[in-house]
Amino acid sequence: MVRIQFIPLLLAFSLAACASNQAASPTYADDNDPYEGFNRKMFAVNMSLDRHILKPVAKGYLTVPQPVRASVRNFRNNLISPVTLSNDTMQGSWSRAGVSASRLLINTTVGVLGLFDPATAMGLPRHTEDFGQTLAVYDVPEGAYMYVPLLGPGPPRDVVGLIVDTGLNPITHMGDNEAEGAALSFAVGGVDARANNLDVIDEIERSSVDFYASVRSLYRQNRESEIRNGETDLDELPDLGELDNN
Amino acid sequence: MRLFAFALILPLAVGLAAPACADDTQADEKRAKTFVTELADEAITILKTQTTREGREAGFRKILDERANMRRIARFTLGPFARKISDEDFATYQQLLNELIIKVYANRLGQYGNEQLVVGRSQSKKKNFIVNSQIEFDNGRQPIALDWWLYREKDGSFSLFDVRVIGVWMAQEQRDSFASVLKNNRSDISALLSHIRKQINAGGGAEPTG
Repeated sequence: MVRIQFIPLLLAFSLAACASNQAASPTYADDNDPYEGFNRKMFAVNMSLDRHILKPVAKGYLTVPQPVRASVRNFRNNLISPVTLSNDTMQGSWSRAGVSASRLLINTTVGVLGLFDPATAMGLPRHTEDFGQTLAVYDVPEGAYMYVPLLGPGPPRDVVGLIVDTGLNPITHMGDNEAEGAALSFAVGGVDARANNLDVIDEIERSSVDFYASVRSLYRQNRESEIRNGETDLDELPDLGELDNN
Repeated sequence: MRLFAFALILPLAVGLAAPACADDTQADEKRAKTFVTELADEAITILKTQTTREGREAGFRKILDERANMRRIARFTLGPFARKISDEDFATYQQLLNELIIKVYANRLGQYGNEQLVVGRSQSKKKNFIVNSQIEFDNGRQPIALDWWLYREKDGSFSLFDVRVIGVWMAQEQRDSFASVLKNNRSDISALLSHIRKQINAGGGAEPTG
């Protein structure tokens, strides 16, 4: 859900995703991928699904005028923003929770039920939080890297997070059938993110010596960054001068 | 008595030195921001003025030569394996990595020629400097966070070490994918070199449109 926006670069093959390693920065951790053989097979499945379903649908979606797509995205972002607000609160990030609450209020009213995003222009830019990140903040380990069909990268901590966030997502509970609501939110977010990043994803695939490993690295690094809310811990950076001595 | 004098002088010395250090750090962090601004200006100028792939690649090659320590980046992206190969293989690897980076970034950055880079905060710890920036779009698209990792060389100048796009360090991503190729090819450096050559030949992509 919320995680669908976290790094559109990864959505070539995954409709949604989430996870990380918070004990050690992935920058210097190993690949944490004991089930690589299985994961590569699942990756191939998702690549095939992407090629035959998601990518053609995303290309078709791009024919919808940009302002309409922007409104669909704004509307969905606003509907699912209680997920971020809940996780801001659970993490004790009160100022970020304030931003999320203000955005929800402003965009629902001034932004005409969320079709527009005046809050960003008012200095309240959007951020996302999800339950996978909340677990990480409370030192729950990531678990082994896993690649799940349809979902994409999904270490245990993030799969649990996704389940909880699906329950927190208002769209899940809007229709008669909760599964349909969850699937709708998932699919709309996935297609939109895929459509916005067609060129970027193709370029990464074309330029990588090992696309599977690149995706794993992109995912783990991005999740680490999300858990830290984009902040860099300078204490964790290595002494680059040592690289000159070898 | 000597100890007593030392106890008196030490806080005074530290007290005088601390603001000087803080000033130096602030000045260096400011210089780091200037380095990033200049580098970004150079890149944007290339994207705006060079309309052929060859022109853009030549421009990026010049930037890398002048502003990055490629030997260090090559060492990093090869990880511990860098110590296990011959000097000749390492030289070949470094040259291929250089070409790969030029081709990849001439392409990846091609779409950003008309956008604006806004440089934000600069932080440092010892010789590492992180400068935050973001690419801003005028079509309402959300800005893209771009962080720069600079290293202060012995002569006080800065060199570019890595760039982080939406939370992902690019050199780290290269290192991870190279490590995977080596792991799956019994640590055979020639397999990695062959993979990189293949990507260089395929990685040129389409001619820039801007």
